[in-house]
Amino acid sequence: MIDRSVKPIETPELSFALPKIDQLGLTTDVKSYFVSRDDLPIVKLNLIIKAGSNNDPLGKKGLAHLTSSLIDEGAGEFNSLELSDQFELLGSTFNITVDNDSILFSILSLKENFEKTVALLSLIINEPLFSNEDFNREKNNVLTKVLQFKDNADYLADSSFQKLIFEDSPYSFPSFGLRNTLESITLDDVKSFYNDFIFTNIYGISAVGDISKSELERILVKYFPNNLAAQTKELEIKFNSESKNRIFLIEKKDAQQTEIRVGHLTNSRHDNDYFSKLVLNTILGGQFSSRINHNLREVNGFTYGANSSFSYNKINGMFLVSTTVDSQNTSAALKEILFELRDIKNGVSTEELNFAKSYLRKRFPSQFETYSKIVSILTSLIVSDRELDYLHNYEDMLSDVNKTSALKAAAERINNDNLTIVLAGNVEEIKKQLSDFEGFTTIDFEVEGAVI
Amino acid sequence: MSKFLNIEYEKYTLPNGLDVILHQNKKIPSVAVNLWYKVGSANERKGKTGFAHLFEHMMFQGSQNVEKEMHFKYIQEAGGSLNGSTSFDRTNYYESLPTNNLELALWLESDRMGFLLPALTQEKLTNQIEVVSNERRQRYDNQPYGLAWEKLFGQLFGDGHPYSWPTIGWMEDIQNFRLDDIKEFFRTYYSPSNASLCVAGNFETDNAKILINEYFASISNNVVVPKVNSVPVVRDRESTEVLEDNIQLERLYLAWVSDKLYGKEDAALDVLSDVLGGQKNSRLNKRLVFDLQTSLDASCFQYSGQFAGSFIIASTVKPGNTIEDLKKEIFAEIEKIKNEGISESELVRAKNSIKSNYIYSLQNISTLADQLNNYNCNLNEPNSFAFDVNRYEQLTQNDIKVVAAKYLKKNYAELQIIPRNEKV
Repeated sequence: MIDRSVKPIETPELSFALPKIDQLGLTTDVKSYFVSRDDLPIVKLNLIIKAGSNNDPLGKKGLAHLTSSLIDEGAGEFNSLELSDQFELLGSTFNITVDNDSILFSILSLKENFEKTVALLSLIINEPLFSNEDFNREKNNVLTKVLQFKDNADYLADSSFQKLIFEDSPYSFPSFGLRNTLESITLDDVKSFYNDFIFTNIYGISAVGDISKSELERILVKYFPNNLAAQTKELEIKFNSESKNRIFLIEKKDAQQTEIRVGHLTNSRHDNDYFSKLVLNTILGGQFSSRINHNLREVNGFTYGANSSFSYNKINGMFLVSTTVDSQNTSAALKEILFELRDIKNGVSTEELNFAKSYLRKRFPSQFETYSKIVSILTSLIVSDRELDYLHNYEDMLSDVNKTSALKAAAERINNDNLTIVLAGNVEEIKKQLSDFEGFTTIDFEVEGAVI
Repeated sequence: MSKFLNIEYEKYTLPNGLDVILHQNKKIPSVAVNLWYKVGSANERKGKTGFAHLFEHMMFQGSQNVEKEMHFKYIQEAGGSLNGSTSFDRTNYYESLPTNNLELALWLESDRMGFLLPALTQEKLTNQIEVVSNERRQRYDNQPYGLAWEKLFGQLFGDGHPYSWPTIGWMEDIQNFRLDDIKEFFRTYYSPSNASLCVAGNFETDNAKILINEYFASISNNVVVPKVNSVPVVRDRESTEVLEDNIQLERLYLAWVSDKLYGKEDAALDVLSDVLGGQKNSRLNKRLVFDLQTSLDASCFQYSGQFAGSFIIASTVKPGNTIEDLKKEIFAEIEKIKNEGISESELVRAKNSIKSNYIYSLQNISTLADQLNNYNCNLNEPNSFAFDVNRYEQLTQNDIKVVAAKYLKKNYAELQIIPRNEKV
């Protein structure tokens, strides 16, 4: 008879071995990772361009994104709709995503249709039509979507926070661009961006699937003979990291809730306290059982959820606490967040530390469960200039984190005197609640022209 | 391809009525535990909505042998992931864990199935009323177009129909949840005979059976589940509702009552929705977004449940255009299909993408476990993957034309969402 009052004991762990990760034999500039897997007859492939919205010229913000919207609107002998039909006929999916640092072309196909799908992708990258008609339509659609961003308090809060902490650097602009910069983009701009940053700029490849390494190499060389040579210039980016505690208010008429963002710039992913920060944040706000979610949701009921994160770009990163609370509790919730940011500097308990390390270590294998997840993690290594060592050393690096290093990360990487706070919601209601925030400068933030 | 759509499993039923489905895959390092309770918002009644969804919260608040918040914590500490979801007809709870922690998941799931009520307190309820209220604000009330679905389904199915209220519940009902009512709802629906447990992934079958028996067999089964009071919806004319929202662009929704889940015409309606509004070259997208450029987007889908289905078209109007013109264009496209049918290429494209999506979905063990439970609960046969794909494979061009004529009549529910400041 089992005793329900006692938590079951774990049986011994299965040892986890990383899947075998091969490098493809292509031109030397290209970073490539490949995992062979045959439990399902599918192949997933990402092509990585090492240029993104950061390469948008100043008055043409949104160019990388618009180029990516236009590039699959017809290629080779197919017009836009015919091209989409071709993918659908093969049962293959095709996607492009753009962020500040990179552009990803992704395909997922059945094994039997992989080469045909790559052939379509090759057409898109080598022979995009870039017609005037398609350009006008896509540009108009993007402009209309930007207009719609006004509806979304979460978009306004996120993009404003980014604008404020990355001020004057390319990271401060939304990938979508702004209405006035989008207006000035021409079809020639798109063609230039394509020629300068996409056509011969496939910097990385990650692939997983039911295909041999040699077959994959054959296909890539056949369909991308001139594209695999990463020549992208590294951008020089400067940051203005000087700031002090400040609260920005964004008006969202009739809002019932306030979007809260609290945070600041942080150091690079490549610095040696990466794992200390990862463990620290897991305890602070990185998962459901974290201090911040416990406090704001489970104790106070202010929100459906609250979290914190350290996230990184190629150069540095940001620390961010994010939540959505009912308007009446804006100030109360903000105080609790600030309390947690102070309190974490008193250190973490052994129990919290063990929980966080166990959570991070034991879930690591699950990142290799599906074809798509493996491609994601390999792609993220390439985009962020990390080597396979990161995966091989993950467990050791994690196990080295202790209470002292977590405390050090809290002391050095959470800057309570340098907080940018964004509150998007019913400003009149929020202002009534802000009298207690001494030492904070309160500023009304106009999103027009800044983030939309 | 067909061998990939044959999922081996073993199914048996415990004496207390709990269905158990086991599917082994020793190639992966994890095990998925998935539990379906055959209770959704359709089992609620007017004035007492949101109960099934509330349990999606209360089931994580601890049970007799598990402290508040520890359910999440134990699973996460073991490297697992977990969640739950609620629909009209069912609620599911699931976790995926490194394989050495199967017993942990069975302990937690069985404790909340059999021993939730002793730990269900007013304090926990009060807290979760606030959390759910904020969830409702965040996902519906304070979301652009966020009230569309509850308005549309309310209008389409009509007052009192079990699909006429939102799964999260009306705000007024959420704020008035009473502990006694909640407990009664649990006693009525969360019984082993009203549930289906699927364990999929890497585990030893003999051991899993022993554990499942130990943890679940002793849970008593003492209820007869009341039938959902659902009468067929009769709509003999169209209706229109206009809703103002804090948005920039007008959006039109059209909905028809259609065939139920796995009904004879459910698959044909799926394909019809794909032809009308699935991919880039779908009829509505081509006409409205590409050729006329009067809409920002156009989508269409068949959303079906146990008691009825709904066929929905939605499109956002670009500035300078009107909903009236949009409607004319949409109905012209529908008429074309009713009169001329669809092309062979349209049918093949839809079939091919449906088939590959089935194969892609098998990547994830948690999704697979959920699908086995879905087939078990709806078709009484967990291994219905081939059957399901075949529903689409055997369709002809004429089948699509027939369902368009049969369902897309002048008895639709129309919802217009317009910018608030537009009103004079």
